[in-house]
Amino acid sequence: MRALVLSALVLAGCGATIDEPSVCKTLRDQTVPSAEGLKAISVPLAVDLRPELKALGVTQGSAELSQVTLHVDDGVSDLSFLTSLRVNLLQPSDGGEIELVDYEGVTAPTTLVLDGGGGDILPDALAGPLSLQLTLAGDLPETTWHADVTVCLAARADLGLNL
Amino acid sequence: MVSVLAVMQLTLATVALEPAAPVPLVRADDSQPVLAATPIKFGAAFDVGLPSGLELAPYVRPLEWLQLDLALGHDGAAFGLGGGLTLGALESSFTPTLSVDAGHFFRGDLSGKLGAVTGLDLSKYTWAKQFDFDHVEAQAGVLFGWPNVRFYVRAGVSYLHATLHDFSASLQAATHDTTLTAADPTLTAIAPSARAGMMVSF
Repeated sequence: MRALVLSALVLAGCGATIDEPSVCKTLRDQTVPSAEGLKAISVPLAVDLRPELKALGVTQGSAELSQVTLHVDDGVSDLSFLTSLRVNLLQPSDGGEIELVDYEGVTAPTTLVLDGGGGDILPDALAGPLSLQLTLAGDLPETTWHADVTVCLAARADLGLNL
Repeated sequence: MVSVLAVMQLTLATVALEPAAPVPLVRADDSQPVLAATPIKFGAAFDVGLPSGLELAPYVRPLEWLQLDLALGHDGAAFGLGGGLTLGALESSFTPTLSVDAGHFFRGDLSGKLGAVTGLDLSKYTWAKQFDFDHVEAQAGVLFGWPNVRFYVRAGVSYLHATLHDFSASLQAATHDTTLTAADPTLTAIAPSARAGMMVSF
C-alpha cells in the first residue's frame, strides 16, 4: 500500500519548484584598461554566485544569464564609442567558451542593458566562480575607465521535499 | 421505490381517459407529499490536515450526493479562507467520497515548517516569515457515522502556489551582499495532502 501511495505521488509529480525571474549581482567599479590603439579589448570578470545559489537552496534546476548591464562609473562620459559588446563564459575544464551576449550597433549614453542567453549555466555557477569575458569593440578610449557590471540570472530551482 | 411507484401511479391516473376517482396527491399510508424533494441540509465540519491546517467549514448539502462548503482555516501561522465540494452517497452511513478544495492562507511565519519540509534553514528569510499561499486539493476518502454526526478521512494530492515577498531583502540579508537584487520569485509545489475530521448536520 505504501508503495502504491508513493508511486501515485511520484506520478503526480510531487516536488517543489522556485521560478526566479531575476537575481542580479553588481560588480562595482570594474576597471577597463586603456585600449592603446586596439579596436577591441577583453575584460575578464569572475562572478561568484555560489553564496546566492546556496542561499536560494539551488542545487538542481537550471539558470540562464538573463541580462547584463554596463554602467559607466568614471573615466569616460558615455558609451558612445562602443560598436559591439560580447560576453562569453569561459569553461576552464575544457578551455571552451559559451557565447552569452553578442550585441552590435551599440548606442548608449551611460548605461547599456543587454539581454542574455546561451543556455544553462547552473553547473558552472555551482562549480565555482563564473569566468566571464567581456569583449568591447569600437573607438575605445586611450585611458583607463571604470564601470559597474550587473549580471542577472533567471533561475529555476527544483527543491527536494522531506515528506 | 415507493415514491417512484407513486409517481407512475399519478402519471397513469392523469392520462387515463375516464379516471374512476380523484387523483391521490398524498400517500395513503403516511400522508407525505408524493413529489417532495430531499430537504437541503446544513451543518458544519471541523478537520485537521495538511496543507489545510485546522479548518471550520459550514456546509450545505443541496443534493444527497453533493456537499458544498466554505472554510475558515489556520495553517499554524495565519488564517485562511477557502471552499470546496464533496461527492458521495452522503446520506448513507458509510460511503467513499471525492473532494476538491481550494483556498488561500494569509501571510504568516512559516519559516520553521517550510524549513522542515525543504531541509533549508529559512530562519533568516523574511519571505518565509510572511508566507502566504494558495492551495488546491483533490482527495479521495471515506465518510462514516450516524445521520447527524459523521467522521471522515481523506488523502490525495495538493497543488500549492506562492509568491515569495521581499525576496531581494531576504537574499541580501542571507548573503550579506547589498549588490544583490532579485525579483519576487514564485514557488509551486505538488505535495501529498490529507485531512481527518467530523461534521455535524443541523
